[in-house]
Amino acid sequence: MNKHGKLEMRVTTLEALHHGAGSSGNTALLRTEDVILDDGRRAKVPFVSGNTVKHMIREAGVRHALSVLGLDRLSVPVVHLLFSGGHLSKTGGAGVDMRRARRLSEVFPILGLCGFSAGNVMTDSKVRCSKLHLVCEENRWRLPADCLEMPHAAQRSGAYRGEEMGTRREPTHSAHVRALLSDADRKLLDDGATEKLEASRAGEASERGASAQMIFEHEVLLPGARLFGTIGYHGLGDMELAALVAALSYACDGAHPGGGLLYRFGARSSVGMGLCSVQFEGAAKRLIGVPEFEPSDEVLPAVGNAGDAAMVAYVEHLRKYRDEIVTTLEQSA
Amino acid sequence: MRGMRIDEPAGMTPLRVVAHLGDAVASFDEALPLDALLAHGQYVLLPVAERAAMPKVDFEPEPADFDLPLARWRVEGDDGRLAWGWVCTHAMGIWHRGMVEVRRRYPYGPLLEMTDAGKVTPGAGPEKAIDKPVPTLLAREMTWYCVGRKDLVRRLIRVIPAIGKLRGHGHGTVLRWEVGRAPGVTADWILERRRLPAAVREGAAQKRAIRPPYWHRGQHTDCVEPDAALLRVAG
Repeated sequence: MNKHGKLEMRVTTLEALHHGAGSSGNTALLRTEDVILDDGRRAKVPFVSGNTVKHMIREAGVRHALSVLGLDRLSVPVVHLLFSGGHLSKTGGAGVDMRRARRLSEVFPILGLCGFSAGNVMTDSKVRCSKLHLVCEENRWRLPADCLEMPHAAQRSGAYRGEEMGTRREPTHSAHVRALLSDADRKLLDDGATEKLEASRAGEASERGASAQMIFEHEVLLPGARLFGTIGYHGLGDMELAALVAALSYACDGAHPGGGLLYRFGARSSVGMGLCSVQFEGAAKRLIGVPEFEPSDEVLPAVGNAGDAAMVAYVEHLRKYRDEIVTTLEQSA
Repeated sequence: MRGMRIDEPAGMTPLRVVAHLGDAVASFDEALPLDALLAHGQYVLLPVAERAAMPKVDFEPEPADFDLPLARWRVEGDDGRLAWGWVCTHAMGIWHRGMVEVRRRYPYGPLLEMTDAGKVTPGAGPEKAIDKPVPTLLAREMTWYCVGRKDLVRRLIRVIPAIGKLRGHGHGTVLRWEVGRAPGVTADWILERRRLPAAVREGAAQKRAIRPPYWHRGQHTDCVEPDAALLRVAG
């Protein structure tokens, strides 16, 4: 039985979130989109692209499947196929190998779910990720009913924008790092610093002694901002739905005390930015498993609800077809 | 219109279809004709087994047509060939043109982790890292007119959650569809607002498709576009 449906997402930023597009000086700018206000004027509103959400699903789903299969060495074309969706590489003049594409979707469901291009076949994605829109006054006309009731809906988007500042230190300013340098390099640095000081006193610029030290800024959505979006799916088989659930479980960073699941969106997630609590609503919601982070050396979180029959069947499916998956991926990429 | 015949079965009436949009529509082509959307709706509603058994239309020289609940126009071309299509307009409305860039990231991380690759070329080749630009049409609503069966048109259009390209990334989201009667609108009025064969309209002819799938070269014939001033009006 093929499944159609959607997961509604209600997102609360727990840390500053930067989803960028371009820069001004040393400030990385937030990505914005134009919207038409009720009075016909245009305004720019920050958002998180659907491409970001879709790629999160693709990458997490592929990584989960590879970990189940125990695969850690791949060819370059297979990496492109799995993580970027691949590309068309052969013309259709000699006929279209639909059987191989169909078989690849069957044995490796995450590709069937997210769509791919391989050989002379391009398959559509069965999952449709909306943008994550900010709950704010400019977006009132498209807010879902539950978001309209939030006080955030009465505030302009500017109320949720801020800046995060950071610095990168010149490492050779540290005595410990300088001790690691060769005598020649240390002399070069000292000469450069002296020249720069003299040039500065003379009111001139000097290129010598260029430093890695810098101040940088990111425009961000502030912690506590609310966003909304959907993940729609259409015509999924049991294994593809399980692959979607596995991907969302694998990408999940844990549970928030407020009831949501933790995910990271946008840039600089490795230094704490972009952490969000996501409340899902939809039929697939109950299937998404919260990873358990054990106080052990085991790095990978447990994926999915271990007791869920569909997830067990999905893992068994991947293991059963392991050899065929490897062969078909290499032939298709 | 000279040489043109309209087949309008009983029960069909002039209709107005409005898409209330949640996001800008990404599209290289501003025509966005209604019959293309309805054909997609018909495809979506097909039983899964029937859909899977269909030949991949990309490689069919002449793709099969869906039986849409719309009136048809027919015209005999200068070469004696019969051309036909559906009685519906292109998208009408006033929109701001923009551009969206879709980032295709190069998978450096997985390549480092999982392969023995030495030199890679992210700046060239089919996998190159790019920000792919796609034009967008920003409007709160788009309107179409057609002659058809209201209940069936509504059934087909309601299953379409988004229009244009990059729908999987959240572009062209439709918040709500509205299908209602359009008293006073005639088939001729509608046909003035859609692409027609050069045999029945004067103007600069170009090879374009006249019915879905519009992207398919098998549907191409000499056509003349409608007057843009008739389409760029509030619906």
